[in-house]
Amino acid sequence: MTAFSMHFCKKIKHLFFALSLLLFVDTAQAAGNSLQIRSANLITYEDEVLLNADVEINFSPEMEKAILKGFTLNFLIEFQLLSPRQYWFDDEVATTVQQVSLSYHALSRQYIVIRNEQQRTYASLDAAIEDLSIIQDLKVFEKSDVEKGEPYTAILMMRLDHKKLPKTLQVDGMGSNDWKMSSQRFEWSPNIFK
Amino acid sequence: MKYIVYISALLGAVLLYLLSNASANTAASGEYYTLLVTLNIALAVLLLVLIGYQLFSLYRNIRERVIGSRFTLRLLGSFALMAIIPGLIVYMVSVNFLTRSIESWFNVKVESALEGGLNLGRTALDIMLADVKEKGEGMAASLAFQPATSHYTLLNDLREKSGIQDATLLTPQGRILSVSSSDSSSFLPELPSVTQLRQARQRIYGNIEPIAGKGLFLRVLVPISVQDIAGETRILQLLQPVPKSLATTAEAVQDVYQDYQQLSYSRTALREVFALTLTLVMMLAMFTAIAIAFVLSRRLSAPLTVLAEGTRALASGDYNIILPAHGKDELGVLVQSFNSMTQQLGDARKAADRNRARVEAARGYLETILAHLSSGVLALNERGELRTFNEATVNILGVSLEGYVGFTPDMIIAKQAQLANFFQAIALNSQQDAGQKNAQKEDAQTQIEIATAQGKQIITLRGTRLPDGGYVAVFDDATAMVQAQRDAAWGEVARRLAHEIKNPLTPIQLSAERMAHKLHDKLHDDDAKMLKRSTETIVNQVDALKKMVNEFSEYARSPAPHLDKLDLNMLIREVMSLYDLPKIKMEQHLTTQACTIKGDSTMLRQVLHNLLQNAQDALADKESPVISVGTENVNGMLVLTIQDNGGGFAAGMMPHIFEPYMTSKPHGTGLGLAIVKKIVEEHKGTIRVENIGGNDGVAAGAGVTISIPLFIETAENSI
Repeated sequence: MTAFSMHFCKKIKHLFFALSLLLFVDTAQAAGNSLQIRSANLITYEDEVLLNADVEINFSPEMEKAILKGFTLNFLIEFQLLSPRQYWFDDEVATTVQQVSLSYHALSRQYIVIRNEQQRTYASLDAAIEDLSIIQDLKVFEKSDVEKGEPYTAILMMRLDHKKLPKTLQVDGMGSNDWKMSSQRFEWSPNIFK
Repeated sequence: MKYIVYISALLGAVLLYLLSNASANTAASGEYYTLLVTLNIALAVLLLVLIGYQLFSLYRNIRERVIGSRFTLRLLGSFALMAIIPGLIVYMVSVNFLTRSIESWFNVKVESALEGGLNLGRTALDIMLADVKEKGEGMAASLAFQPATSHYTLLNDLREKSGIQDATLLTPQGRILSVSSSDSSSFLPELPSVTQLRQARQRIYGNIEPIAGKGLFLRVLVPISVQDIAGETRILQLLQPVPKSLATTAEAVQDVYQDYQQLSYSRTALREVFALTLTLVMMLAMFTAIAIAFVLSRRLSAPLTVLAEGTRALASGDYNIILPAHGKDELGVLVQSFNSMTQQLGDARKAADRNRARVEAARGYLETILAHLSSGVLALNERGELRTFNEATVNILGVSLEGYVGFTPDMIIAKQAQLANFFQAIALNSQQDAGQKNAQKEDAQTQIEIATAQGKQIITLRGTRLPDGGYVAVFDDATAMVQAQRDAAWGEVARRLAHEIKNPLTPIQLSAERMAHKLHDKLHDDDAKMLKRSTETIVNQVDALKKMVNEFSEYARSPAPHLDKLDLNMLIREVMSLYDLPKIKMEQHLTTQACTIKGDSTMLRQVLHNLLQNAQDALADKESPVISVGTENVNGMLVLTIQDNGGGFAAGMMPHIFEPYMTSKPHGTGLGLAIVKKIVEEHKGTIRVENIGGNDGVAAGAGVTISIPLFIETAENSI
């Protein structure tokens, strides 16, 4: 009974934690996990504008264990190009979302990174992470979408797609930092149009 | 309030249904779960606020002692307990059961079996990889001793010999030199990654790889040291698909293993989700139950509240209250009964009021009669103590008995000695009556004399026993009646005497005169003188006798007064102007107010003459004699006072002062005051004589006070 009541207390604690999370915006970053965009820039290639970025990804041991147990982590790379407006919401010129997934193939002991339906296998997690952390020549919009001389703001974000996680972890994710991975909002003013 | 509760309950039910669905179906509604939980928590908070508000209003009602609030609280407590206790038990059991059953899904055996399966697959693949590696080494050795130009044909041979699906010759940079494949479906082989190539430059490299769209492959990279001039290293890649059946099975095992691991990993989360869901369900159910309990208990206590209010109104004397009808259940019957009871009570109360009013009226009637009765009525209670008396008692006895209620006659005698005769008679009569309780005897009438300021008073007393053991005495002031009887008797005597005496007086006088006349010349001087003296004496005495008899007859004749409007002050001035006496000082203190009365001026003049004569007589030998005459208006009566500073009335005369032939003067007939009293009474007035107190108990004068009703001009009178 005491064990039960302790358990019950824990439940209540969790509940209150969840409640408090609902009330206060959670700004804390993961202790073990980190996702940070180090650099990003746009280049033009023929008619297209390509995004290159360098991301620093660190997994907590917990997360590494989860990957080994067969969880597939889906990351979303979200790029937006905004045309700032003074008295209204900024105009959204282009939005591109790329999905990258990382999983572990237990039978072959390989880490698989799937990007743009292209699969790459790596023998080690570090190699897979290295692949994940480089965004190369991602086509984000066409040159014709923008006008020369106009100021634009580019925004890049990378985050773990929560919706693709098992549902229980989605709920738990509210309270557990292990499953919260999101980069900062990386903003810069691209100067390729000048 | 009621509707808010019901709506909340409905909303809660819907949300709970969705939530439980979401908990059950792990795949479909994952993203809605958080929203649902939030909504549910919000609803729970809302309900909590609602309950808080309800509790607060109930608390306020209890503080204000609103009827029915305590009952509501008790009902609420019962309902809430009925909901909470089973709810909590179910909740605890469910949480316990769930957490344990989730725990029981995962056990070591299953895990190790799955792991074993996976390892088995891995081992099988490893063996196959080792086999391919061996073949690759053999092929590489064969190729190494051949010139590069013959590599392609040799490659194909070697591949076919060793039964490998794909064999590719690559430069260390990964450029394809030659390809041999038994798989006709693919044009180009899967190329190794840069890392793999780098590794393969040093030594043999083997790997099991899932290739998208093609399945599981065994990849072996072998470096070939070509023995030609350039000495360039080449790399041989062998790609061998894992047999379909093995691959499928191994993949299946892996999938299950991963699923299991995922589940196992997320079991804590799962448990928490379930617990959270259950807790929310419990909270919502509890709160809803409590909120509904509020509504229900209010509803149950409402008719009782109405009844209680009705009862309170009834207790405070409001019999007009009609409670609103309340359904057809027992409470409705109760309300109906209450209404009819109230009505009956109201009717009874009205009847009682009517009766009381009737009794009051009867009492008032009796009291009025008693108050206006000229007879004094005096009641003793069963212990012989004074209980009630009427106004006439006070008037007759001249003493207010107000302070003696509850006193026995003996005690009253001790305080009022002059009433001793009266109360002794009452005490005696009541005791006698008490002795003969059952005897229906005639009311005995006793006549008692008491001495008061107005002189002797004669009271006739009758008494009878009351049904409650008390005694009632009825008595009348018989003084006037006795006086009247006495006056009448005197009048009759005077009239007869006058008549009888007057008749022989004239012959006696005439005879005496004639005798003197006839014998005057026939007698000697001496005899004649004696005769003359005798006859003169006879004639004088007869004259005196005649005068006296005339006075008597005048008193007895008593002509009816002729009442007219009369200003008494004028009359007094007129009369007093006749009394211009040198020795006596005459004082007038006449009121300036109107002193019109209805009176006979002749008679009143006589009254004034008589009184002034009396005063003058009383002052015969006094030094500095004063007579003062005054009038004043007191309570609708004109009060006339005539005072002197003479010797006053003799104490022994006082009781009989108004009786005829009562005089202290040598030559009085004693009729003066008697006539005055008669006239005053004929004017509906009263007369009172008193000695004005001086020093040492010696009277310093006498005073006569006459009160005559003032004439009041009314319509009736003026006609």
